[in-house]
Order: sequence, then C-alpha cells, then structure tokens
Amino acid sequence: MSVSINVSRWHLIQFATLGLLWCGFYSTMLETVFELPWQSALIESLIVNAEIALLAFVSYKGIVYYRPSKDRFWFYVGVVIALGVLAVFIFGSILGLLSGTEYMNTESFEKHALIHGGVAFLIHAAVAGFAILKNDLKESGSVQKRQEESERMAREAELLKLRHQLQPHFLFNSLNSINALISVKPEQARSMIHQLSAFLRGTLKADDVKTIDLHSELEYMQLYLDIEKVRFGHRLKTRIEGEESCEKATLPALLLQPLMENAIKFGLYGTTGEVEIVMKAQVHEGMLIIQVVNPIDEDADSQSGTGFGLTSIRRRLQLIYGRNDLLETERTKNTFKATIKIPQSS
Amino acid sequence: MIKAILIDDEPLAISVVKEYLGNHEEVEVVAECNDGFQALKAIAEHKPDLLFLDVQMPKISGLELLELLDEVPMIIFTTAFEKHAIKAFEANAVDYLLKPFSQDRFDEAMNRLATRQGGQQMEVQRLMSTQQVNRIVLKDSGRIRILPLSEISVLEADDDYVKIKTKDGAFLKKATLSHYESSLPEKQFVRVHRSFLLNVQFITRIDPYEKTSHVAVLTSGERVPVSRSGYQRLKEVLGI
Repeated sequence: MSVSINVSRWHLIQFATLGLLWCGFYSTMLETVFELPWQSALIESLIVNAEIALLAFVSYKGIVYYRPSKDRFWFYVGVVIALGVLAVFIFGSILGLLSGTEYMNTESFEKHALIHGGVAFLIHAAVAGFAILKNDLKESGSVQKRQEESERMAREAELLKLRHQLQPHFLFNSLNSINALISVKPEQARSMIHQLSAFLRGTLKADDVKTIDLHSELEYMQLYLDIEKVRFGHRLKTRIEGEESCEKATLPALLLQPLMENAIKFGLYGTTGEVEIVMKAQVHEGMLIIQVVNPIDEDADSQSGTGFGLTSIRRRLQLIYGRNDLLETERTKNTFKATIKIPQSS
Repeated sequence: MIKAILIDDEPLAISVVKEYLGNHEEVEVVAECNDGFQALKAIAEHKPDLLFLDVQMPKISGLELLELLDEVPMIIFTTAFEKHAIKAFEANAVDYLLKPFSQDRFDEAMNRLATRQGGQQMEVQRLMSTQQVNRIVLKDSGRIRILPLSEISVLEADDDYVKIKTKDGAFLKKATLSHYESSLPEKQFVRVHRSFLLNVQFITRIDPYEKTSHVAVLTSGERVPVSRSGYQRLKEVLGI
C-alpha cells in the first residue's frame, strides 16, 4: 500500500515540476512576444495554464471513465475545440476581474486570446490522445487476461474430468462384491466398503498442480488393487518393484492407478488363467520411469491393450508437461508394456 | 427341476446368485463357470434350462458365447453396466439384472421365468447387433475361433450360412449377410453385391466388368463381383 502511495506522490512531483517549467517557458514567451513586464507575463501564464490544466484534468478523467468509442473522431475534435474556447472565455472573465490591478492590461486581451486558445487546443488534443491510448492499452490488457484465464480454466476442467473418469464397471462390480460378502463375511464386506470409500475420496481430493511422492501414489494404487483382488483374487497377482533411486521421486496424483487399471483390464479380460502384472519404477537421468507389463491374449486383435485409460493418461501428461513423448507402449506376442516418464525437478 | 448354470468371471458375483437361489428350490445349480470356454463345455455336458450370464467376461463375452450355442437355453443376464442395450436385452431374455441387485429384484426375475418357461424365443443376432462388434467368434470343427475384423477379407452369403474368408481359410457361420452388414463397422465392410460383404482394406484395385458392373481385386488376388449399387456404396466409403 505504502509503495503505491509513494509512486503516485512521485508522479505528482514530476507533473508539478513539468507544469512549473512550462509556465516559466510560457511567461518568457509572452514577455518576449508582447513585450510585457515579466511580472505581468508570469501572472498571465499561471492563470492560463492553471485553467488549461484544470480543464485537461476533467476531460482526461471523463474520457478514461466513460470510454467513448475511439472511432468517434469528430466528437473528440468538438470536445477539444470547445475546451479551447472555454479556456479563452475563462481567461477573459478572470482578466475582467483583475483589470485595473497593477500588472493587468485589458487592451492586450484579443491578441493574447488567440495564442492562449491555440495552446489550449494543442494541450487538450494531446491529453485526449493520451486518454484514448490509455483506454486502448487497458482494454487489450484485459482481453488478454480474460483469454489467458479462460484457457487456464478449460485446461483445469479437462484435467479434472480426466482424473475423475471412474470406470462405472469397477464401481458397480465392487458394490456387487460387497453385496455378496455381507451375508457370508460381514467383516470383509465392511473393510471393502472402507477401501472403496478411501479410493473414491482419493479421486476427489487430488490436485494437478502439486505433485505427490511416489510412495503416497503407490499407497493409493494399493487401495485399488486390494479391491480388485477381492473381485479377482483367484487369478490376479501383482508385483511392484521400486529401485532405491526413486525414493524421493514425485509425480502427478492419480496417474498410476489408471495405468494399473488398464493393465488389469486387458490382462484379465484377455486371458482365462492366472494373470501376473508387474510394475517397476526407477529414476534415470532426471526422469521417473514407471513400466507396467501385462499379459495379453495372442489372438486378440492389435487394438486391445490401448484402451481409453492410456489415451487419458497421455492427454494428462500432455496438459501437465506439454510433451507428447511421456507415454510409450510396446506390444509383443503375449505381453503389453506401457512406460510413463515423469520429469523430476531436482 | 430347472437345471441352471451360473456364469460370471467374479466368484463373489456367482455366490450372490447362489445365495439368492436359496429361496428357489425348483432350481438346481449344475455348474459354475468363470469364463466362456468353461461355460461352453458345461453347457454341452449338462444341457441346462437356464443360464445366469454375465456379459463382460474374459476371452469371449456372454453374447459371443450365446452365438456359439446350437440351442440357447433361457437366459437371465447379470451385468454391471450396459449403456445401450438394456431394451434389447429385456426383450430377448427372461430378465436383465443390473449389479448389484436385491433379493426382491432377483425373485421378480424368477417369477418372470415361471411365466415364460418353454415359450422364450432368444434372438441372439438381434442382441449382437446392439453391440459394437470388433471380431467374430465361431466354432470350427469343435474348436472355437476368434477372428479379428482386420483379418477378414470377404463375407459371402451361402444359403443359411455366411462364409467368412481370412488368410487362414474360410469359415462357415449360421447367420445372414444383412446381419453382418448392419453390425460390422460400415466404413470398413461394404455390401458390394447381394452376396458379398467386402473389407475395403483388402482391395488393391477395382476393374470395370462387362457393361455396368465392376470387379474388386483383393490383395490375395481373389476377384469379388461388384454390382452397380455396390459400386456406388464403395465409391462413397472410399471417397472417390
């Protein structure tokens, strides 16, 4: 707050200095051109310039406040001429009031009026031009700001949508499993409700701006895995290996669970036997590299393994890091491998 | 006694149905299956009257399983989420239970079963046409074959059957060509002739033939007749 006051006070000092200099110059001009005593010239200069400054101040504030369209050229010309005429008229009135005092001489009024009017016209024209320019700058500034704001909001909305894309199959089938457990294993039903709630809560509170540490993200993914193991325990095995190098690694939240979900979906639906899904994490050259391998059915057509899950992960990485090359996939005869790379800020 | 087979890839989902069946002594569970292959075997062995069938399952879906059966028993679908097909399912099955379902809802399905017993006509093809098809599943001398669409070059009408040609040979499936015309992706499979549905990815060139018709030459060298209206459709899809 104090800074802004200082700045405006500084501006005031600058304006006042310039105004006094201008008044001095103007009175010297009057003194030379009309051969007046310097006292008369100085008084006249102060009177004229004070009223010009006052009118200029009013017209400047008016234009900045009402923002008339800048295409209305004749409107501005009219205003400027009117202000010039007004300046001369006021000067005439003041001169009338002062006539008879020591340094004031009414006789020179007509010659002087022409000069004063011209000067007033030029100054008011410059002030109006400056006000229009300022309006312009302000407008383009706010347009740009609005545009940036709306782009940022669109990006955030998209990220939010991508994070919240919960597979309805997962939710309804989990509820169905709970329904089954309630009568035979009520304790397990209860713990599954808690896992499912913690999982759902996690999808809601995550945030894209902050990255979280790998350990928390793996914990969150484990909630999901625990639920899937209740559903498919008889055939789902997972192995998660993290090298020591990634102890301090960070990544955007809710990235690993969809990666795992994709692998489980295509691993489990592609085959009928036991399925092992392997996730490996390491940090290499400033990148956290996470690799997920799932088995696939060798008869499956080339489309399987590239579900919506991966498209959404790719899009998120693109929105967050502005890069397209952070998700790679590789398919062999009976495995599918997805690798994501997360830049680490050291 | 009604012989029933429970088919679901999640054991807990099967256990719910078994629990709810406790109130229905007229039903005997003869088998429980976790995938379509097991189910196919069990159906051949037990000849059940009723299937509780999950739609989304490993390897082959519940619907693909039905397509492979010569005789379709009564069906109660149990599934978590189907956006499009609920109406068709309701019309063609005894009932359609959305997971998770209650004992009351289950009993209602069993009541429907009692009133519809014996008179149900299952239109598997009608059901299939509501689904997005990305492969064709069929039985070939006792083996199950899964044909990805990208490997199918031509489908040819052959009496009550459709002959499906791939690089591994031709396979017969009991169906109509118009069924495939409506269910396969229209940008990929074009009805070029009354008797032929053609995968445009296999076309190498199209030659004029006699006065008004054409013939499509495939990558395999095979020539497929193209009728006048078929040529129009082909031009539309290929954008020429």
